[in-house]
Amino acid sequence: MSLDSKPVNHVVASSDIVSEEFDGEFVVLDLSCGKYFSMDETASAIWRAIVAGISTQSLAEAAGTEGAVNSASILEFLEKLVGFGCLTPSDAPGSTSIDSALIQLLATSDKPPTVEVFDDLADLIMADPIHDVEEASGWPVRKTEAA
Amino acid sequence: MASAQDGSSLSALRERYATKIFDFCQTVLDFADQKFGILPAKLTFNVSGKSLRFGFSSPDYADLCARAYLPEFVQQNSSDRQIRLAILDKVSLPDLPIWSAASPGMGNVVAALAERDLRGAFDPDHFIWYIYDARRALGVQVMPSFDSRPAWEASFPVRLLVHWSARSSTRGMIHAGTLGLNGSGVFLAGAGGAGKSGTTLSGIINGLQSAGDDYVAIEVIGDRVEARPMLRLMKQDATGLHRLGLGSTSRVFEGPNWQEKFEFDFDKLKPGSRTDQLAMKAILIPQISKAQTSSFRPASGREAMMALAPSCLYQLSGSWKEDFSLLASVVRAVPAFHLALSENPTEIAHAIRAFIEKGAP
Repeated sequence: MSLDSKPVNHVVASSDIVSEEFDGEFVVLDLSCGKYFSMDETASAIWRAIVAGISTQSLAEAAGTEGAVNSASILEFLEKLVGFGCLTPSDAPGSTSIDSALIQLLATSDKPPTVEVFDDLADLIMADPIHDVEEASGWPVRKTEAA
Repeated sequence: MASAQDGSSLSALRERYATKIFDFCQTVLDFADQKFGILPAKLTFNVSGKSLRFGFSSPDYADLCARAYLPEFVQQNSSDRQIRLAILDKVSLPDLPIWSAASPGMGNVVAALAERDLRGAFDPDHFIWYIYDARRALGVQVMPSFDSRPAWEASFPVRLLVHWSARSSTRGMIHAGTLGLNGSGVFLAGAGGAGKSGTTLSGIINGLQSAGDDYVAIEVIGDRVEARPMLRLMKQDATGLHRLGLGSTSRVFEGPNWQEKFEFDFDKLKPGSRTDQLAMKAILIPQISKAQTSSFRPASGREAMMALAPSCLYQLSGSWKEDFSLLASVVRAVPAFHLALSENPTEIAHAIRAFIEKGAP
């Protein structure tokens, strides 16, 4: 993939995104929707780099264009995390100081970063009557009542 | 497509709604504060080292709690304030404030109160509010009537208020089974149906001890994790009892309950099986298999977290951020193993006994 156009940086989407690391692997929880994200070692290394403020371009360049983990798979993974609501694009300048261990891991990983999504808590959290409120009439009149 | 103005309007509406929720909860807390002294039934329990004084508008609810909780009257630290938990219903207290607007969602209540230093939750199916104010050391559970409680309430009544009031950064409750021997123990973690309760019951029948098969109090002390019992009962369905050679007609077994499970005081079923405390040595993630013998293999911390966290956070709502962190500290402190269960309950119990005595084979 060409990196002629500089890719946008990414940051953690909000304070509702919390994560815990276990021997190099992350479990991420989105408190706003109750979804869990379980990341393998490669995905976790990329997540750790993003949380540390590494720029997307630096990550992509470090991965190169060959191998299972390359610039394309990294950008695809980051877009997936944006779609999940874990990350958001950012105009802020990112850091370029990638440590050698991460470069080594990206070079030697034999599969692209993977993340599993679990939504056990989602139905507890997602009910939101605000969406059902008729704004013209004002809360607490529901849309069905106002119609 | 939504305009920026629409977004702003929705945001303002959401803020008004959150304020309304908060104001209502403050009114209910004030009401509970005023009425607590005249509530007709009171009980005191010690959970995670904190003294919880329950007050009930319905004496029937006191009976429910007395049946479920262990009567542990430990001398509390004199510097600790006793925490008051009021369980109120509209039938017994007709002047109880009511929420007369659209039912909020769980997320609305949790977020609205967390931003204002309260904890809260709302059960829209049973129209029950749960509110806790740590600064006032006061919690309140508000429901339409005693009969409007959820079917599962009898197993662990007032669970959210107890969970919030007894928790700290190092203490809380965990949704897992436990087995132990000579003060050392293991957690049994995983989704429902994985074999946690059956394995726990098999263990105590075969000479192991337990702090509980469903919820236990935990404390993380550096790299150590301790588990203590707080609930009196275990549950098992008729098939599970039969598999262990137990007949459900014994007077020890009550029920069946709403899950078609029989409830029983496990220390009465097997005297001496309830331990006061266990130093936890491992998290076991059981899985039913067709193997001749049970076997253990290491599990990653990520796998242990995914076995523990979903059910813990689902069952114990309203403090997810803090509980996620506490569970992570448990997982980091204790190694995890997959446990492939054989079809022989006695063999399973012996395998776990050997694991506790000698570590992973």
